[in-house]
Amino acid sequence: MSTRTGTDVDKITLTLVHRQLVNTCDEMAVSMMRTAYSPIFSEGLDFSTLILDREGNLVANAGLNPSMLGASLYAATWIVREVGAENFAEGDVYIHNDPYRGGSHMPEHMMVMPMFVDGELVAFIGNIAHMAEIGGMAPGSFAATATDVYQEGLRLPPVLFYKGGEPVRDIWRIMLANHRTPNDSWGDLHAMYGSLQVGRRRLEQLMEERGTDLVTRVFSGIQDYTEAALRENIRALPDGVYHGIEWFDDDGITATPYAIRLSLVVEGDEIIFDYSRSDPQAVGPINAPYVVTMSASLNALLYMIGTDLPVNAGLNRPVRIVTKPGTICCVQLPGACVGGQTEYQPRVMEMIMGQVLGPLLPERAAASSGNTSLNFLFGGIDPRSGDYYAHYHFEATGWGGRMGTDGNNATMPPHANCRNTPVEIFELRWPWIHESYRLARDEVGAGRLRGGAGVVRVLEVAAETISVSALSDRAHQEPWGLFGGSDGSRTRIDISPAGSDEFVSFQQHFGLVSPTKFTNVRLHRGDRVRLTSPSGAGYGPPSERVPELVAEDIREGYVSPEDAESVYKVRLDAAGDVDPAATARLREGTSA
Amino acid sequence: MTTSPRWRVGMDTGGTFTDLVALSDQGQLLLRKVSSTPRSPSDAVFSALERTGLDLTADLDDFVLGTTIATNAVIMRRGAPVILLTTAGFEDVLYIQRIDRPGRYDLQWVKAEPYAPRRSTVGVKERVLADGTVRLALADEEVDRVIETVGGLLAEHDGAAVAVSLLNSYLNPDHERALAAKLRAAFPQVAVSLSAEVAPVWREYERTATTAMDAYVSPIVQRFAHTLATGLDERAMSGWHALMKSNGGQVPLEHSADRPIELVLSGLAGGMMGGGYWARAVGSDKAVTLDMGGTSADVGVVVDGQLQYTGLFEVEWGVPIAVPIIDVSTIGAGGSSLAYVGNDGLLHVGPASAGADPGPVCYGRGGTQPTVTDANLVMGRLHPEHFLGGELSLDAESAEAAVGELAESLELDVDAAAEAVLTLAVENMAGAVRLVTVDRGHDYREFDLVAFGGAGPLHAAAIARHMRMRRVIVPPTPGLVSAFGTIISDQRVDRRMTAVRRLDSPEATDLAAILARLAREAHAELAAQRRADATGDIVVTTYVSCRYVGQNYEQEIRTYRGHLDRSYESVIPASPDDPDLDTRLVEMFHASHARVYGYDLPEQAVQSVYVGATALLAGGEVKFVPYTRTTPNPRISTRRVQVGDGVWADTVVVDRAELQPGYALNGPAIVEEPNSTTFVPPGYRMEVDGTYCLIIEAVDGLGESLDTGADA
Amino acid sequence: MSWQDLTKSWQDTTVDYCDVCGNLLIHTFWQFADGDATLRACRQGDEALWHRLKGYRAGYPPVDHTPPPGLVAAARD
Repeated sequence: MSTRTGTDVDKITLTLVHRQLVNTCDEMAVSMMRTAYSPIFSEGLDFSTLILDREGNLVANAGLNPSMLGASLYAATWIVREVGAENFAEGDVYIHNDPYRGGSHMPEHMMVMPMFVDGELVAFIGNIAHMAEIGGMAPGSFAATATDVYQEGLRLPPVLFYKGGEPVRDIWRIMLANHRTPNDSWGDLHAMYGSLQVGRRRLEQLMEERGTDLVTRVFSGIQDYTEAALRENIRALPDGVYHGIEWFDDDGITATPYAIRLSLVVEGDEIIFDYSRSDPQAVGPINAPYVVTMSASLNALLYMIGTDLPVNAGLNRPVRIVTKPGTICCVQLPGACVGGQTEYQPRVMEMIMGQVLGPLLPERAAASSGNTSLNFLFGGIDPRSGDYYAHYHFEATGWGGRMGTDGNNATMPPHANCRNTPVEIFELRWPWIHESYRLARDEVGAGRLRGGAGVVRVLEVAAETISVSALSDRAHQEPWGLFGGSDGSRTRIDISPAGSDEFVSFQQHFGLVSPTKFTNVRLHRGDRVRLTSPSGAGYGPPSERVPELVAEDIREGYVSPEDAESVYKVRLDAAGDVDPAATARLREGTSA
Repeated sequence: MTTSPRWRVGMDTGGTFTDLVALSDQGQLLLRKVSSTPRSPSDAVFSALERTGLDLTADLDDFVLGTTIATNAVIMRRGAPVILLTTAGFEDVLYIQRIDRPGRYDLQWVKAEPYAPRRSTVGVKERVLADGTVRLALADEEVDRVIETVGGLLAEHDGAAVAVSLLNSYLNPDHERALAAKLRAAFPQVAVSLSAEVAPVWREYERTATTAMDAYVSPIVQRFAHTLATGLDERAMSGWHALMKSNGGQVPLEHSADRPIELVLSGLAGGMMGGGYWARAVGSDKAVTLDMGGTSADVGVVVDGQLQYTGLFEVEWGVPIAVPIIDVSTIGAGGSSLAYVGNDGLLHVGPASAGADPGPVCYGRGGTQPTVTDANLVMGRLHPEHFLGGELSLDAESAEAAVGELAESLELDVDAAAEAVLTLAVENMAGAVRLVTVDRGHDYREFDLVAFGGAGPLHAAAIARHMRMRRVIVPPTPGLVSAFGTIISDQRVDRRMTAVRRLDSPEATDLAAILARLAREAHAELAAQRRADATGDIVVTTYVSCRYVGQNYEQEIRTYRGHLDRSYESVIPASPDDPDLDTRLVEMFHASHARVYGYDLPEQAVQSVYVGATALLAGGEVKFVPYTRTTPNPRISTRRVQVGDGVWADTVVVDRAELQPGYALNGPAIVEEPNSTTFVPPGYRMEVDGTYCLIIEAVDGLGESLDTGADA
Repeated sequence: MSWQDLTKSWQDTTVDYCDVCGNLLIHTFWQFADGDATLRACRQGDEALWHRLKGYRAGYPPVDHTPPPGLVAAARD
């Protein structure tokens, strides 16, 4: 466990050195982003860079993606303890992607490199990145019908990847032989390794300048600082037990809903997240390893009460995550779990931020966003080049309304922070032609502050065949409104076979168990796919929305004239402007 | 004197003041500072010109203006209504954006509003594919329908401009051009911006946002250029009249509305050019320039005398401009930045500003919220009677009262509150410095800080100490460096486009031909705009940015620098029939990747992404003596100043106009001149060098004894 | 009520879980008894946590097994 000896570093030095550590992580991130191959981490920014103390505890990060928080906090400590600190040598790099050893899901690979000063282990440099293709039963390694972890790709416990600065070629060859797009893996793994070198150079400089002793005291000092600040913020919450429940539509294998049940205990300056009453683990891959549940819980807490805290292992100390092994919140080997990171995590986070803590902190809360990553995977041979390709695609959703503002249109849900692939680049890289990519304006959840719009993307297959898979949710239950706001809209994945004008759901057309979770469905030239991501829910009663905003919503296509009257209780004149008198009468009628 | 002096006039419109610098060919220097007139910016320009006392009809060779007219339209959202034409099915491109967000833990974050609303967006039935071929041709009937729809929207929106950005038009601009021809014929009074002309680069959001912004500022820029030209004509002003562009070059006034997007950073380009000039003058190989005025601080980087450029600039988070621009980061931190306690109970400084009107509380023009200038006055770092050379007397009492109110809500004493305001302003500026250094692979600790603008020299030493930067350099007449920078700037034209080509195919690519075309275009545009009395040659530079196939970011490889107009084919190594260009690019790219990232991948294929050309016509040399009253024994006075950490000390005050090269003193000290005040903290030494710049360095080590920096 | 070693041979790549929180057990675990049951925990403090939680859990509302209407409708289809 981490040392908590007094660090006697003054606050200014602490802040300065910590900022230099964060800057080092930033530089590692820039290096990785600019050299990586998989668009998911160069354009999608789905990675994090880390500095860890000599026990593997997180000290600083340039976390571009909150969903990696749990793994950042935990995976390195597992590597260090399993390998044994005494077994690391200068120039060694370990690689690891095992969700059963502190990883989030298998596409996310972690590299860890020890740093020595005068022969003594003083720190680790690390990073985590989502690699687009790591083998398994479906191209893009996101198999929604996987029933165990072995179908989800190549699993690596912590193994030596570089020894004394030299690549361990046998491991490289095993990996490259098991990935469908080894060339991309080759580039990505170099980008990760290169970023470790950037981190090491900068950290060495810093230690030279400031002295190793001071820097390592800052390592523990900054963790203590975060712990203390978080405790103070928790203390401001009223003691008590707060409950929340969220559901998955199904697990891709059986059409059964699964419940996540949380009881949150606030006790002085500590919080216990108790998930032990959640449903047993699913057959399909919607399960979460322990670290994903940890990630979701801590992320929600940071959004609600710790916005500006330095993110490090100190976060863990006043917070305890309690799960029951063998449930959806703590999957046991060999359960499938690739969707835990992208589907389970947002579900849990927003449950905490809206349902559980929302009533305590309404000014910080939000109604539910679309709350799915709408993972859509595809692969095949590109007829233009003859090359094999595989891609992991996702969609933005609408955000929920908040106390001060409407939900954002088309933004990644709060658990993730990635960019989309521009249509012009999408079509250069993969054999699809877009018919449209637009907002689902007419689907936003009504409210005093309404939800933001999700997106609708229509794609036509431009190859003889493409194999597609999906892993999403929210097809049967809309994102929930908060404090009287209306619900948002549902996820749809539809197909219009070549020659047809009509869209029907994949589920219906292909006879699938789940509308949002399927693997390796073969499409053919001219087939069109329509992906509709959910729009966000509303915050507060629609009848309290400022009438002029409703008039503007009609002009911009978010609200129909009918809904203006029936849902928002706003009457417009012939010019489309608010009729104040008639609106007042309508609204009085509702409050009477 | 047999000949009367010839004058070059440079001007800079800031949010608070409009500055003028005039240099004569005999080394004379004239400085004027007038209050900006935001409602009609050209008024301040004319009044400053008139206050020079020069014969405007005969004495002037040059008049160059850096203007914030386009910048303000963008930032304050005061541009023209924009009618946007996109490919049908993609009308929401400006709303969807890139789906990411800045901070990690902020549920209240609000996505940027587009410059063209959805109801003014028209989908056009046409489709060009990713290889440039046409899938759905643009039918005549469709063009007619679009023209009719646009006509209806124009009738609804007074003074609107039209932006056209169709999918993949960077590869095949035919449909955009066809639409533009019909639009221009149907609505000759309306500005039409085409994405293939404004920014022929890939990524539809970035290209469309740039094009929409071009249209958004177009009518305003046109009006301004017209008003200015009319006013100059009325005064029959002699010489060359030009505006500054965002790339640091000049554009003749009559061409300034051709590409309005190129003026978006006009107002800060002068400062960057001026900062670059002084970095070179003092022989600094690596410098960060800090231009801090009334409302904002602009931070740039000069390496080996060269300013850095970027192909993508964000005017606010998520709102990009994809045209070549000086790489600068701007934050709302200036003398007039407001200090206030936010909803979170914490102290904030900026980005809200009291601007020129009412300005800081101490201006006595009705401001009530304390500003950075008020804090400086309370701490004695500004003298109430010496501000603006005594033209404006500052009201210390009201400043103290306002800071006092702030202090009360923070439960601090007045002194501590004032210092906290400065500490926070310094931290904000440090953040901007990090952005242009660390994010671009530079280590700011190896950099000098060239500080200017009215407020820069007051805070520069604190920033340098906080960030452990090398030296602080304060140029002569720091408050007018931006205006000075417009005079010494070059004429410059940039062309940049996307051309994705694999460089490993057996057949040679067409890159050499594209480079040659861009070089000719840039050269031709500059030649057409070239000022008649310019003597130098136009120098053309070309580059190709490359990456490994699969990567998403590129590195720029310079391919040519030379004189296109002498004999193009013979001097350009990358000539259209050069069979070796691809191979050479690949070799240079591997080497560059290894240098920057520590490794290369020699077996991997390389591709080009952007190609570009820059045509440059160097501005003339300048020679002048900035201070004419210098003396070996300058007068020294002292006053009580809060020098940091709550310590009040007797502090040496000197008048900069009296300081000769070689003069040196130790901090705490204050150097006053009409347009700026320099603060030298305890533990620092200041010396006047041969260029009359003040060089400020820590006396020994880092001046640890006292911390005026942030993080308190 | 004591620390125990969790010994595994190198070829064994399975993992073990903390009975209190579900986190992984690495090399060692804290063993304690609750009635007849023997529990393995990742931290020594988990023994107290376990008993504390029992108190809270006694006060939780009954488990809600009813899915929201959308899911009920989907299950009917």
